Amino acid sequence: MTDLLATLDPSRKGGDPGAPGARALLAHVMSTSAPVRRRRFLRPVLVAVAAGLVVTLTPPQFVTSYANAAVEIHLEGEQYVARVLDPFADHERFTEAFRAVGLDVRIRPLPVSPLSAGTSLGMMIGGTFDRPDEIGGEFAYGGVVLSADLEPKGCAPAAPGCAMIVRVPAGFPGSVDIRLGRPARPGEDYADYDKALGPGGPLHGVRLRHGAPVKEVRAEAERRGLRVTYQRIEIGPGGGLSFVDDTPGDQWTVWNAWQVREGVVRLLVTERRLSQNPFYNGSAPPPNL
Amino acid sequence: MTPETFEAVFRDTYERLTRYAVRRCASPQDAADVVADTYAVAWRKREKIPRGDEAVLWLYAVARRVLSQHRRSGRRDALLDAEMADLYAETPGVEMSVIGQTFRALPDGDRELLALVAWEGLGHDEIAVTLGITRNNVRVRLHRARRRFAKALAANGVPTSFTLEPLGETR
Repeated sequence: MTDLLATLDPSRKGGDPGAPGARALLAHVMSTSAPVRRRRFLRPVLVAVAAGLVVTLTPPQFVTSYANAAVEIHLEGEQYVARVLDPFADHERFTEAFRAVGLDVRIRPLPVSPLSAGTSLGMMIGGTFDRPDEIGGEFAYGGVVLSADLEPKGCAPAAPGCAMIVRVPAGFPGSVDIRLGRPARPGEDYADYDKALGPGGPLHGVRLRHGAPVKEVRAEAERRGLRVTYQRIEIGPGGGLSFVDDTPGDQWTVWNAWQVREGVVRLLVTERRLSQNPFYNGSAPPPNL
Repeated sequence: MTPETFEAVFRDTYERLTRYAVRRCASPQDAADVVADTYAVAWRKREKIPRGDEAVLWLYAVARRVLSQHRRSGRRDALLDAEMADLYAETPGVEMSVIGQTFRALPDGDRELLALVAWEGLGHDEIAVTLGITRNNVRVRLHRARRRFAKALAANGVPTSFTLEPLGETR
């Protein structure tokens, strides 16, 4: 009778632990530390009560500004504004600075190509909220958008006067993980794999918006001294994409390219030509394909 | 448990744990939350993760608790949500929907037991570990769950070959 149920299985297949989202999840999970054991702190309180003393518990006192060699934080109205002075400093320095103003904000360094070193690859916001706000598609809390952006907007991380500014609402009860690019070591995979076609990327200038034959893209990549790998695109019923290693024919179609690590790119291909690019569904602004 | 061993557990169990979550969550976002929260708990309690094949059963038990306390998380990772959405099967045809509705109308405990057999493919011993009950208890509860499911199916016009066999002869 349970055979009847087998045909109703809501899951088509299991997740791939090597997929980018799964890898990001593993990295996020393993970057969190175990909660502090409370017992140690409880005991003196119990002793004090037993001795008949009146114990007043004061809430932890936080300062409203803090600076160390890595970061400088101050309160501006309803939000804390942190200027990152040294993005490659020991990330504990950041944790310590944010903790001093009562925030759980951590910097998680990820290996990236030189294009993204010193920039944020996005934030992971943890915790449960009764009313998470959204302002302009960004996560907000108490009317303040959480952000980690280069200022002045679009500046080069190494340029003088250019710094990453982190904004977090004062009293934010959740946790924030900022995924910050650090230069990859030789042979390390890039976390900013989607920058291959953009300015400065290994395949900048190659146009894939309307697809291009494998033969042409491979020739161009090899001309630039790159090693080429391939994955076939599988399109799920909901439009979700997954990727499997494959060896394509010359006439297959390339729809996107990623930078895997230094000197290595991956072409995302389909055997048949599709009516439109699966990575681009008319969204604005269009991706750099 | 070293970080390397934890990573190995993640690799070995991710496929089965994502399926477990997808089967029990209506939306990919909820499934992503359950998977993320389950591994977060596992990382915190990594010293308690059993070695070998029992690791996945231990994770199922954690996921079950996570599901029972689940509130939509504020954290959103669009990549993980999209990967999760891709794991969902298409909605089955009408002829299957009666069975589906009947199944969903069963008491929670029955549904979970039958799902562990039909979808996770667990045997009695493994279910006992996952649910933290005795093997004999699994046998009795599963028999009752099967009987209730068969009755409900019959009431909805779907005959099954399930007969009220004595307990000793059921799987």
